[in-house]
Amino acid sequence: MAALPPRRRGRFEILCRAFVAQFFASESVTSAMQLRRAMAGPLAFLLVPALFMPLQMVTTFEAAAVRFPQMLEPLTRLMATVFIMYSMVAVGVIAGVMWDSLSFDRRDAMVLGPLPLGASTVITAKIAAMAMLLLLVSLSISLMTGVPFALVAGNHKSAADVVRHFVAHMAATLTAATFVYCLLVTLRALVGGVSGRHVALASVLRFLLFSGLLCFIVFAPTALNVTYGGRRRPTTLQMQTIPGWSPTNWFLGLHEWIRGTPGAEWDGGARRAIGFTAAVIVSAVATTTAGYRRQLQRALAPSADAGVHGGARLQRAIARLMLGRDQLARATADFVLATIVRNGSQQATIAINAAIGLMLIVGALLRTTGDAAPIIRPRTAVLWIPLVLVYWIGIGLRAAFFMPSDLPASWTFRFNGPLRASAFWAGTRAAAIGFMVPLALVADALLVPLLGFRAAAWHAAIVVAVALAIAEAAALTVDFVPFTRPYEPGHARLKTRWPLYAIGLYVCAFVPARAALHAAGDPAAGARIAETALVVAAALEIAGWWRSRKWQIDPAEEFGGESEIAVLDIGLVVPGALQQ
Amino acid sequence: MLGVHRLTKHYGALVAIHDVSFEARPGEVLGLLGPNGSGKSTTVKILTGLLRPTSGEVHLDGADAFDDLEAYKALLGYVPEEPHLYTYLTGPEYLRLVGRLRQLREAALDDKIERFLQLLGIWDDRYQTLSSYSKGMRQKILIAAAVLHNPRIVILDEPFSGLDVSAARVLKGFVRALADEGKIVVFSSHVLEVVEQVCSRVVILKDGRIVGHDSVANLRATLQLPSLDAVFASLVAEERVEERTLGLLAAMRA
Repeated sequence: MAALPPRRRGRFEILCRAFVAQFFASESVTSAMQLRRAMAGPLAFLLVPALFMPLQMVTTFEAAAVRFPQMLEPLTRLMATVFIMYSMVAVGVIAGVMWDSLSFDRRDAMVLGPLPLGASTVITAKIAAMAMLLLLVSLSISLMTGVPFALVAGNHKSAADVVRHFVAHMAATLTAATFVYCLLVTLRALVGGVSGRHVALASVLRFLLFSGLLCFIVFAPTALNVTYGGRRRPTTLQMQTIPGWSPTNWFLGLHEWIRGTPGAEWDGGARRAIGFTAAVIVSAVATTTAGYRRQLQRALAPSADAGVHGGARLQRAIARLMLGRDQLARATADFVLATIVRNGSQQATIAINAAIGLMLIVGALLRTTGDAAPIIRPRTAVLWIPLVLVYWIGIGLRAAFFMPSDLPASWTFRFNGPLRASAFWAGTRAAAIGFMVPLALVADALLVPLLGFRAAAWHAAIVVAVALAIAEAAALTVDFVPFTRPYEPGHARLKTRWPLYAIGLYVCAFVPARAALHAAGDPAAGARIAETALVVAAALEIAGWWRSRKWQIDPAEEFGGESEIAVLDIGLVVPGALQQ
Repeated sequence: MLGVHRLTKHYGALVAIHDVSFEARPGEVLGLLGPNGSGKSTTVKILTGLLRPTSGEVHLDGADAFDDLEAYKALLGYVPEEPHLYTYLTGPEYLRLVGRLRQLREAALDDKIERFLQLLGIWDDRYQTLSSYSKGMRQKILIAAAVLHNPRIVILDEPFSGLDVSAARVLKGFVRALADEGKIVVFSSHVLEVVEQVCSRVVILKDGRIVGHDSVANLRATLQLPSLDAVFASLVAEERVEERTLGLLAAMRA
């Protein structure tokens, strides 16, 4: 049999493959790839429990359905809502991670513009690649949740009902995922045109999406709870009520409509789900198309960009206040703050960590009863809100220091700066304080509607003191100018370090919150807190100056040398042989 | 005087430069010439202190430059071959970063930056981040950053790459003026016409070794050749030029 000639790939297929590859790889620098891998770890870490949690709830659902057969329908609807929510959140988080590749950028236009490719081919290929990503993610999520849920929920009915339930589940979760994904694609294409602000917007969005996922992990187990009473007390069933405004109700309507549940609210919900999803699909296609044309124009006329004007003014002012006329320290502080303010990678790291803080806050608040009364009085779960946020922002800031930014440009420091200077430490510390303090005040302002201005203002002193200590500690644990070293694979040792983070949370958030609670009516206790804060600050300051003597800019060998060769050859070069 | 004595650099088994020695004197522009892979960039990076040699020394006024690298670097200005810059900073922000790292006075620094940006024709783009700058604009920023602190030694690696004709003409004059000011200028380039116009003496490298080292006029006279281009072709001996040209045409048509 004659061998078939190799198939020639069409332009569309080649482009589509390239766009799909863009989601998972970066051709810029190795460290960006390592960064992506570093982000994939926590993502898997978060998505897997988020997946198992609803699956685990299936057993609770089964128990509740057996004990309370009359509640089967409301229970089914609650579970469907949980799965719809998971589908929306998970797809949202994936889209958040792939944010930069969700639309065309100037580089796409510069590379593809001169090639003999029609705009329609490029745009269709991009849309097809994005659709493939959506399908890959949402289909796997929906199948993994849909099969067990349909089997359990349909167990009480006929086989036809099982199939119908499965179809309803797939349709509702896929439509919900499509809605969120297309909304984010639209947003990405729109903010791509907002110069200078899209990085900040992306970070806020990532923070919200990660918070959504983490809050889901906390919220999901509380949605359904069966308390077995035994002989004396009756078995009770607790179900969270989903607010009427929640968009999940639209998709629940679709779910119920397909299942054939009678009711005008389901029909209305189904219509809204289909209508809104169709609208966002159209808007995603339209904005993506417009985005490519805009990037083509930008590639031709880059100066039309409005440019950046300053940025991080308050943070820089705080840093300068601390540094006086020390030029080297000011250079470092301004560099650190500009890098954080203008880079998505650094902001994403901080945003993800802040989201962990938000999850803990929500988790602590959910432990109380449903009404709002317990959170509008001073108590630990309330007073620690800004402290937890500040602590996790600090953790994120420190982690961001290790994320390189424009690494090849770090020769600027190596060539122009002194090799050793405590000013680098002073600049980094001032930048960390300048970054943390305004955020600490914003976090503390969250308490104003709960406790009133006076109590929040009093608490602000403690929050700022803790923020200062965390910033000092963050600067204390690095010994190089942030962002100027390659990311070390395996740097974030979460598996072994989580007890340290837990102890840190206890010391930085729980202890100060408890102390603030006790000091509320006791001026002497307030004075003791102030004394402790001063002692800690002084100790960190001394430790910082001592540590700063070890700070250094990497000496020569930037562009290659023995160390680089040794890494590239992994074991093939005998250490020491190079010096011979 | 900047002296390079028996400089050798190995990257594992690869010998980048071998036994390279030359001197660069105040008031002259020393050209470094050579084809790709000849060791020009390695030599330049060792001269700037960004790379340590495997053996050999760099002397400034008789003292080993690597003994007090910080003091040596304080006297250097350097334009690298690749315009690696912090792309999210604006031109003035980058220059301010360099100026502060060089610990220049704030008021003088701002004034200098403004004058450089205006003279180099990038004042209107001062609010743009470097990511939106063209290669020529980035090159201008690098040149400004290299001389911001009025260095004693200026090392330029392909400094005119990406510059338009008029900017290149201005900067050629600037390079000569730097030498006239008594500075030591090392100029590495592929562009022979520019080297011929700008440099007083040239060092020609091939496969990491010096194959020619003299003034342009002496090299021409010694080899009895009409131009630096012919001298370069004779010393570096680019082989099978015609055969390779035809090969390229054939590859294009395939």
